[in-house]
Amino acid sequence: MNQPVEEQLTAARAEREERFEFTGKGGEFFRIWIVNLFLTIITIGIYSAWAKVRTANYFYGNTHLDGNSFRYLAKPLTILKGRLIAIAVLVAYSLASQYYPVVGALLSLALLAVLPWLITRSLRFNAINSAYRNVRFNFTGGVGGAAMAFLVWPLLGVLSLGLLLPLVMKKQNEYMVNHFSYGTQRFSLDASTGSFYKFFLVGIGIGILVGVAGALAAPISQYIPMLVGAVAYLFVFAYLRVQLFNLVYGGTSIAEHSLKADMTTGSFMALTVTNILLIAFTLGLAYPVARIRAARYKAEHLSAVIAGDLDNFAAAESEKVSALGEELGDMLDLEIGL
Amino acid sequence: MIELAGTWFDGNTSRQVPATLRVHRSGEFELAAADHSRRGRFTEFELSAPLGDTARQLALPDGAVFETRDHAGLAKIRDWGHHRHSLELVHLIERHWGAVLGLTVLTAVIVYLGMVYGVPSAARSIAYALPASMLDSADEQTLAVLDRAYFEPSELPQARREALRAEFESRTPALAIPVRIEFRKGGEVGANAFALPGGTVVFTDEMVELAQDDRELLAVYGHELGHLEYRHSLRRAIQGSIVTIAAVLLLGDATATTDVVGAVPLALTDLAWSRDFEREADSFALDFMSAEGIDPGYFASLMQRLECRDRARTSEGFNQSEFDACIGQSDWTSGESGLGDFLSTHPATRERIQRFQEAADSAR
Repeated sequence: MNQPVEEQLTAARAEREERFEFTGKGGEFFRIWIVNLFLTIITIGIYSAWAKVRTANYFYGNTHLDGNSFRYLAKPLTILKGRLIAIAVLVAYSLASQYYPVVGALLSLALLAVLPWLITRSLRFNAINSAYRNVRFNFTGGVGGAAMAFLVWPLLGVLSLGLLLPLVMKKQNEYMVNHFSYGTQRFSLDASTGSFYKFFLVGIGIGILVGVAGALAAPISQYIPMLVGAVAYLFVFAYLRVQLFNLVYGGTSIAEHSLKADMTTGSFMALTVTNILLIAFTLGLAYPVARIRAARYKAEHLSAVIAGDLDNFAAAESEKVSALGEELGDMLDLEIGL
Repeated sequence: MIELAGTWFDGNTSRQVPATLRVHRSGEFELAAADHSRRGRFTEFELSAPLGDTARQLALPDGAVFETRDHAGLAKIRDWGHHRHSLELVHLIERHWGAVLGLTVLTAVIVYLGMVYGVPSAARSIAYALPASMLDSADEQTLAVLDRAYFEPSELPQARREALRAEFESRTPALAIPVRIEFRKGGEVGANAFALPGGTVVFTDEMVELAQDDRELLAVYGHELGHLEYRHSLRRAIQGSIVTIAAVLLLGDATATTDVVGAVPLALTDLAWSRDFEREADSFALDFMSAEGIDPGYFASLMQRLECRDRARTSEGFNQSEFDACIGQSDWTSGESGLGDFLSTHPATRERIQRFQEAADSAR
């Protein structure tokens, strides 16, 4: 290859770091939230599907990267259909397990068996209905991989008395990220097993140290161990969340572009505590403000290292996915996703 | 003519191109991007919903999208009558602080009334609409689970069990559900009686032994029949389902934090409903006792003994003198209501004893 062309290419592929930016406002989202609640209640829940789309779109549309915002493209009617079926399943399940314990136990097993399918459907529904620059994301993970990541590996984690837990987390995140794509281009996660073990051990170590310190302070006042315990719990919770976020997002790349994440435990703890206090002291009215603050915090600690521009991603063939997996996951309170 | 500045996406790649969209009053449009131009009718576009200050997307059937933030320009085109999004009105309300504050108050009132009246009465209607036979075989499974986990076979003499059963059955009023009486050795459950939703009423041996008069057991039996007649178990389960579904629909995207904050009021409401059901069952017991000519005081005396037995049970075992002192106390009506009352499935024992004692006094 001759010299000038190569130079040109290098210039075009010059790396630059772009921060995610969140422009949602507490007051604005509060008004959207209240109208959502009101319309959902007076339509006996039917509007909830439209409310979900509006909420998601508010957060997507206000999240910007490199001058473009994200979009949530799910159709409310698709969500409504999924919701109705999910409600029927939930009611049958909860009544059965209350009155016919044997039938209930069998139903739990059945739900566990379809869990991998549910997870893939939910991930695919959310991916395919997310877009950036008019190109949709996609999730192509299979049921077998989900069964390994969400049933077999957690079981091994339990059997190993927790020793394998960091590895389980790595397997799950690898499954989710590596099957996630933007258009036809796959994402990939690069994080070593050692780094998962490291943050896990540090987190637990700090928890134990603080716990011991609290116990030693017990003779001074019986309230100190309680207080220290609460702080330690919050700290370990925040530490693990932050480290996992940084590790997974920071290790994610697509084509020649990559992500960088730099949350800190202290700032995340401050956000969580102030959000809980805000919600509690306003009897829930500040819930939308808390969500805006959380989204802004997340965006502020995430950036993309872009090589050149983001013009060259090709859209994949579009396909339709039902919302049942996603809605059933919501009803059963599964926390799936990145 | 209106000119909108924006970005053009071709629908095949992530490439973005600055573009201008000119829309004429007639409804014709011309799109001019750096390397692309198009014309057509504005109605060919599918518009994204207006939402806050977010960009609007105008999508063409082939997947290409023109994106703009020119909200004022789009409003003018709307006023020409070339497009109207179905959520336009919702968007209008969302921008109006006064309307939103009004809706906030209205929503709070509706939620409050719904929890106090709406959900309980909906659950009652649903429970009574379900066939009484639905739970016929449910009790067998539940009792089998309880037998494995807690109970031993009853050690009461068989003659005593049969006599009690005959006594109960002869006094059972006509209910929608056939009633079956069972005895079990309670073990760690202790003195207790409860009704399973399919019509099985279970007494523990300890309960039978604690009673000093069979009329006390009849009083408890009346209370359990109340639970069956009013289908309390089913209603509580239905109420729980309604609230769970409502919570998911209203806060479907809740995070772990809001789950915790939201769980507290829901748990307190469930307990308040449980206390209402206990009061209803007590009312049924009062009616049952007056129909059977049993002094309501028998319910109060058994409740007192249950309460005193609990108080006299210490870590070192049963304290007989404390039990005697407790039974001897004459005034059950005094005492403050405390925070604990709101955390209990049953109304305060003091409140229940007082109710039955007053009924006994007025009957005399």
